[in-house]
Amino acid sequence: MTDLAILDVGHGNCAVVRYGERALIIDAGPGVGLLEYLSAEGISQVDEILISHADADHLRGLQRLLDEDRFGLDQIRLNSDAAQQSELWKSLAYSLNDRQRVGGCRVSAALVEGETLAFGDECRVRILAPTVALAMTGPGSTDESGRRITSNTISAVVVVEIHKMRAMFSGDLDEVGLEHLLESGQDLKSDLLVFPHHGGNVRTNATVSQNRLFAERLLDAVDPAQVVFSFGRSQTRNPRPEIVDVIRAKGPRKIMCTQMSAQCSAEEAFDGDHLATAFAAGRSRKHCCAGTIMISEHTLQPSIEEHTAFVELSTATPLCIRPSTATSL
Amino acid sequence: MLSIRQRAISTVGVVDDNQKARQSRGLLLADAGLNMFDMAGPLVSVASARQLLSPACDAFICDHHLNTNANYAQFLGAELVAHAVSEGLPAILCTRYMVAEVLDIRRHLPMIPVLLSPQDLGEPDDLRSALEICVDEIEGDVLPERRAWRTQIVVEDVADDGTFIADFPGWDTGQFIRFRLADVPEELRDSIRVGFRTFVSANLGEERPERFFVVRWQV
Repeated sequence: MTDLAILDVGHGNCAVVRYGERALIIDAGPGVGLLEYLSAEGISQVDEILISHADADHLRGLQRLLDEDRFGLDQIRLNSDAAQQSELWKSLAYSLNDRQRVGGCRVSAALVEGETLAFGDECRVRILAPTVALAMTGPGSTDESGRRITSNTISAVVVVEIHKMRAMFSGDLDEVGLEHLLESGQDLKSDLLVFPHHGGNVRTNATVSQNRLFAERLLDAVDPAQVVFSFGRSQTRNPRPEIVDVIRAKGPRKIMCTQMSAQCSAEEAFDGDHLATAFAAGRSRKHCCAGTIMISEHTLQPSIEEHTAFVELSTATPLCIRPSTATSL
Repeated sequence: MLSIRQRAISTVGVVDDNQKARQSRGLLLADAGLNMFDMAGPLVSVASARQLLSPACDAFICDHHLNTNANYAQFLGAELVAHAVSEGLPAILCTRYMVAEVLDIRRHLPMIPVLLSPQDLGEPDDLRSALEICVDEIEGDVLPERRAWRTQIVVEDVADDGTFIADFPGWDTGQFIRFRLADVPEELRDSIRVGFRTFVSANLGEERPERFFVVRWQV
């Protein structure tokens, strides 16, 4: 059995490709959601964990996974980032050292374009970005065109091919990173896109038009039938309305948020009968919208019909199905 | 009467050194359709109090400070609740605790499924919900915020009063937690200095520092 779970971990990203009792993880967001999911699903061995970039809402779960030695962990792949906090790296180093007691854990300080990981006949994981040159130049520097490289610029872009569908995980890719990705000429078309920045500003203080332009370029290249925003309800401005408008203006696409956006409903609790049974960080507080999204061979949970019915019933001002305002902006 | 996981709860004990507070709890229990067992002092030990409670009631509500008026009890409520829960008797710790008391309570938190302030236990639904959580945990069904995971601990500061504060890199709140040296296994106490790291198990899913606890220090 092979499936893909896009976990509701609150404000952050985490996805798990499961094959039997083994798993590959893409990003390790906040909270104990990842540990809860692995434990509940009976997954004892993580073959690979890919960290798109070193922001806490993608990385902090790695610390917990390293520390909790009931889960085997074979390999970590990430891009080194000297711009990030040294205390965090110190803690990770201590935990990595401790892992030697239980067989060790390999660390690859490179997660770059061109790598493909295969898991049986059913699943391929392809790394589309960053380029080797961008990763080696690193945050704090500039690219050959003089554009500033940040942690987000070198965000890994990962495509999971599973059950004849492609799902793209774009970390917190920024405008410069997207430019490099487009220049690479790779096939970016995917059925599902986990949108960067959790649907928030593409960079600090980005304007509405900058967010729109970024979303348009990314959507044109990926052309997904389904877009997922992974955020916690406490982030009251996610997803940005102009980004949702761009998605909706480009034709019928299904939009799902892991938790209910404060912009869609001011209510504090939502019934979750439509949700997948897998762990979701928002479940206990009834903050889920789509919650954890499960993709298996024959099913999507929650189904598009279930999610749409829930949104229509539960939200006063749903961003994902209200009339688009894109043409008036 | 309440029925939780096939466990019948008809009588609930109230342990509080303030008689008026006990009477007030009695009104809540009456609203909930439950009988009250009024636990009068003095109570000389945790074990003896537990023996009084067990045949008389199916669960109990307990204050933390039990000797502010006269000599009601020679122990703290957190000790009694933790002891009772460890023996399978549902118990709720309900108290207006201050920062200083958190140190007393924290060491017992692994066996205190429900810690509430009085205003959070004002309605029959609050009581039922609290008892359900307690019974569930006794039966092995632990809430995510109460589940302990192995995690790294870093000593950040050591005070002269026999306490120290520590950081948990795997805990997202970024808050430091104060511990008593006496709560650390004896073999580790000499190692407790700034920068010392080891592993413990802690309820990393909990966001409230006053409900964060540690078990199983790696020696």
